[in-house]
Amino acid sequence: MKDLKHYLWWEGKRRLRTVRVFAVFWLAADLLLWALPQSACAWISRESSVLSLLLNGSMFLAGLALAWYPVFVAGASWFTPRRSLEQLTGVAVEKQILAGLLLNVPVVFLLYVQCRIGMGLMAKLAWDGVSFFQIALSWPDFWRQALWEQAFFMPSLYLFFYLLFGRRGWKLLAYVAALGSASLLEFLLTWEMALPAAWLPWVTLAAEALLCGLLISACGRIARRRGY
Amino acid sequence: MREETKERLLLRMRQVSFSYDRKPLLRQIHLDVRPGRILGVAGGNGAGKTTLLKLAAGLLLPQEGTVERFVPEGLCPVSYCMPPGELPGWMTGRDLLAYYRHFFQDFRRQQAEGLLDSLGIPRNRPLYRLSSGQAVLLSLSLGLSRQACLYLADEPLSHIEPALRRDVRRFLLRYMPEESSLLMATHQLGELEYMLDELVILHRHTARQIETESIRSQYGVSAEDYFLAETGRGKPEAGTSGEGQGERREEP
Repeated sequence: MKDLKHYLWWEGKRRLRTVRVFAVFWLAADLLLWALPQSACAWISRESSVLSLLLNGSMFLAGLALAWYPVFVAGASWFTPRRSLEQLTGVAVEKQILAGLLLNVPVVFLLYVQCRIGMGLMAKLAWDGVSFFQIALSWPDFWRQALWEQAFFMPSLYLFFYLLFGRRGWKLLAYVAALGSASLLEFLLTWEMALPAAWLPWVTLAAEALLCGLLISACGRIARRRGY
Repeated sequence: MREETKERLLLRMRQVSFSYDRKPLLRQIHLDVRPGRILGVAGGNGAGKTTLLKLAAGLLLPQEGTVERFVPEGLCPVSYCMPPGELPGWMTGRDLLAYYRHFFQDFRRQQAEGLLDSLGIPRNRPLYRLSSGQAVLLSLSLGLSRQACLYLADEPLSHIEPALRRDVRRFLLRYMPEESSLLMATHQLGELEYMLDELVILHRHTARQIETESIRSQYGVSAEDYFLAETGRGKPEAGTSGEGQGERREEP
């Protein structure tokens, strides 16, 4: 467990560095919007479509990152191409995959928080009571959908197909396959309708957790066979 | 083909083959590394030098054949002195020291710190802000501070100015333990030849391992001339004394 702990530490440090530019950018946008008086915001939304677009765009980026990061960044790029130094450490491939998936959780959480902050601040730019970001990310099932599915389950599906296809440049195909598999799983789980309503989310979670474990194991096998 | 002996080996490769995207790079490679030897791996661009080192380090698995490491007690099998380009550029020397300490039980942190201090390599600067020479010396310091029986270095003199190359050569000779061996990929045969006990020539997907002393006694040419001849770029002339041979294992 000590090597997993160390691996989490160093991979976490690396991820923090990759997101620090975005973090500073969003912090600056948040502070600007918070400081601007309502009269100025009303003027911007009425008179300056460029400024309005820029501010909306920066917050839209947070929402986009929330959809894009878990799969295209968190899904495989931290694992492939293999980094020689990580290979030399001798930490088991499955532990590296698990560490990578676990680190997705705080990143997705922070992205979600930034989205919610942005939504709140964007209300200041509302014109006639309608803000571009009033198209809110209403996420009542946040913990399961965002922190589990987006941060953990979907990236593990994507990594599996990415390793299975084994070729660079097939990321889009791996993504489509991951989405298709997730949809198929949801369809297969419709038998759950026979279960009491209170059980449904837990049974789904258990099924996905079991599948995730199998996926991590499969990814480890494929990676070792390829000499990762 | 080298005769199989029962002598002690640190690394043995037998019939090792490796391909990238189904294009063969190495075919039926045989390689023996004995203790206390310095081997130079020479070959043209794309001949497979780095691949051979990575196979020896276990970073790549051979598609055919076997790679065996024989590890004396108390040592780790292999220490790979990574090319600076493969180390994370955002890490500082301090980060790398901590990283090595976390993951490698055989890492001698105090030795590494002493090396960095004596070489004047700043520990708080990220790798991407170090000069090429400093980055190479940092990488070698880290690699040589592990207690290994076999050290691997991938072109330690590349991108280094001539004045610094002498420092790197001296560094390698001084800090490598006596009973350990060094397998070094290089283009600069002329500069390193005096250090080398054996030469491994990669050409047309195969490897030929020969003692540098044999080259001198049999052909009377330098290892570099022999390499050029073997790869079809020149002919060794028997009886001609090679230039720049100098004394082995000491700076000319």
